[in-house]
Amino acid sequence: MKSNVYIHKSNITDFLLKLTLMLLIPFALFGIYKSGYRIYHHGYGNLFTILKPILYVMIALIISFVNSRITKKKFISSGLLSNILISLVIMPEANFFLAVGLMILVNVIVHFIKINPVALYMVILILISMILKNYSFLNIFEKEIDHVYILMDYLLGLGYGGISNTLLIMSIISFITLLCIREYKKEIPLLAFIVYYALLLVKLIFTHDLTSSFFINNNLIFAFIFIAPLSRFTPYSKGGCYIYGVFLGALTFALSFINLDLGVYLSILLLSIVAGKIDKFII
Amino acid sequence: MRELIKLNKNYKYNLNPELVIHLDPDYVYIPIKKNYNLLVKSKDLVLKEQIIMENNLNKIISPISGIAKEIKMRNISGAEVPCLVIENDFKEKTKIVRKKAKVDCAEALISKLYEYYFKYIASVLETHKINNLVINGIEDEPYIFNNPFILNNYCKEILEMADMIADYFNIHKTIVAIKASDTSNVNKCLSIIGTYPNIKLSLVDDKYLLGNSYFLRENLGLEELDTLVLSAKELLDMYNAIKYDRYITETFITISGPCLEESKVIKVKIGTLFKDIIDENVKITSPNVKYILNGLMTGSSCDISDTIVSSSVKGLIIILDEKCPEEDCNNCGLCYKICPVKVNPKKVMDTGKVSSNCLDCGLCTYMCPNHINLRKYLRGENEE
Repeated sequence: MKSNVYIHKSNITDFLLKLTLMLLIPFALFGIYKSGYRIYHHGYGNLFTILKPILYVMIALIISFVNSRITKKKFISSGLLSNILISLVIMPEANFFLAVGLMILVNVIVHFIKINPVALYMVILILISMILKNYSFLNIFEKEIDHVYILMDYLLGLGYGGISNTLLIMSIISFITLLCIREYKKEIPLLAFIVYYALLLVKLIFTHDLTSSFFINNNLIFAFIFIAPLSRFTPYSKGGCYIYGVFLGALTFALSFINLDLGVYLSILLLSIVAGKIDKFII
Repeated sequence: MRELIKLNKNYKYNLNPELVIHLDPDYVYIPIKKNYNLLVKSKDLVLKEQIIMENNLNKIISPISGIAKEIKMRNISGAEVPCLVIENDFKEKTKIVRKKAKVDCAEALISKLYEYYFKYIASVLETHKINNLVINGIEDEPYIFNNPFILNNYCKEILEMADMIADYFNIHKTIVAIKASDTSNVNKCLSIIGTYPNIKLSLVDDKYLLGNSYFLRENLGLEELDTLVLSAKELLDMYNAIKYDRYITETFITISGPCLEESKVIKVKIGTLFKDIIDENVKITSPNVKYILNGLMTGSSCDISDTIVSSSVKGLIIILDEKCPEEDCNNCGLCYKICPVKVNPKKVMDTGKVSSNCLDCGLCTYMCPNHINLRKYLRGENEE
């Protein structure tokens, strides 16, 4: 006699996964324009430049496919989502081979350690870039020309950020859409945003520092919405998610004094390591 | 109040609206329980309702008349137990003299309930001041139809019994609880309930666990201490004991599922082998099937060739034998969020510490998007 349950609820987390993947399509398409065609159009790149954003996505798909074959698991899985997210947040001017090699390496590492792969990838990439002194989230075109962005520019995706994660308007639409899904761990991004911006406001009162990159940072917004709530690397209890969100906001703010882009990914990485401990503390 | 959910019921089935009778098995198997003295030996003639085992507290009676045979191992609710085999002579001979003593007061009713092994109900009625009596006509398990079916077929008897209890024990409120979606029973009850002005009909949502006494009481807004919830089956058994001096020798089981030409509710003798019931009463349409004892949410797969019907068996669901691979936990927390008694299945899975609060309702496993068999961990079966 084997006890089990022989009927199952329609897979809502599968729906959430597919919805998230769908929401990422506009980002990838816009990445081709912003980090590909636009640069090429202004004479700063070649055909490879146009194809680079989509090439990253293609490589993410191939790695996920191979991974699913090796592990005999479903192709459309959290692993695929992680790889797609990685392909969107890579620094625009990162070394292509380094970026791809690192993607493969992270896919191997997460088989052995339960850790947020996107955050791990970005922390390693940023650190290597810093060591190699080519750290920047600006593409070659943005580096050459001084820009002053207004809010509309940010909304339309012209702000700085990863290769395909700058479409702020889509981030907002995605967030609103995901908030409607019960299984999306909305407590994490909501509290992270509240805590981060509250602390930023306090800082503003004391320092009068109006640096726009602290207020509208595509890496931060995209990471809070898509990367931080990745289910497998976050607490499963509601209380745990609250703590995770609060700490994420606070830690990101604290680390922003060193480097905001590194800070947001490092915060997610550190919290994903202790996610299980948070649950144990709460329950 | 807890948030309960409606289950997905994707299987198609064709339910026979008539109650099927299967009261003439060739053999019955009576489990020999620990600390019971076996009062018959091989080749003895056994009469129907004859005491064949007893201890200081309980007696076990034979559901048929026939010849006692050998002792065989059989499966009852997951455990292999030795069973006394009785070969049916189909004569239903009994020594019991039907007394036809009139039960006309609370004391007489309690005494009768004790005599016919309704000890728990008798003790509750004896020791508590009951103000609310709930007739539970709900079956929680999907594709199991016993209680609604019994209520539909024996509505008059059940209401009469409930009315008698309410009358003798001065119970202020008597409620028949049925699912709002159970239109057949709604119509049936409405047509009869007028005869019993003190009995009211209450329609509840089609949500899982409302068939459980605790959740039903909570849903109806009734207090635990002064409410007695009795299932349609219990009331029918009580009616048969009080009116006709009948011991419980028969029960109702549902045989259903998508792999059957027709799903049925069958009245059977306790101790009948499932294989005999299936061979005679249902037609399986697929070759590759598995048998789930007691339902898809709280049941277990079983081998029908050695599983027998006991008084606690609700039925057998026959489904296709498909593999449903488990994947790694993705920390979604749905198992913990859905648990009606706030047990943490993930923690039990990780630590191996079984929680005594678990109802074994199966909701955590039902919700799990990765099809992890959390019931196995919660029941402490993970080491098997």
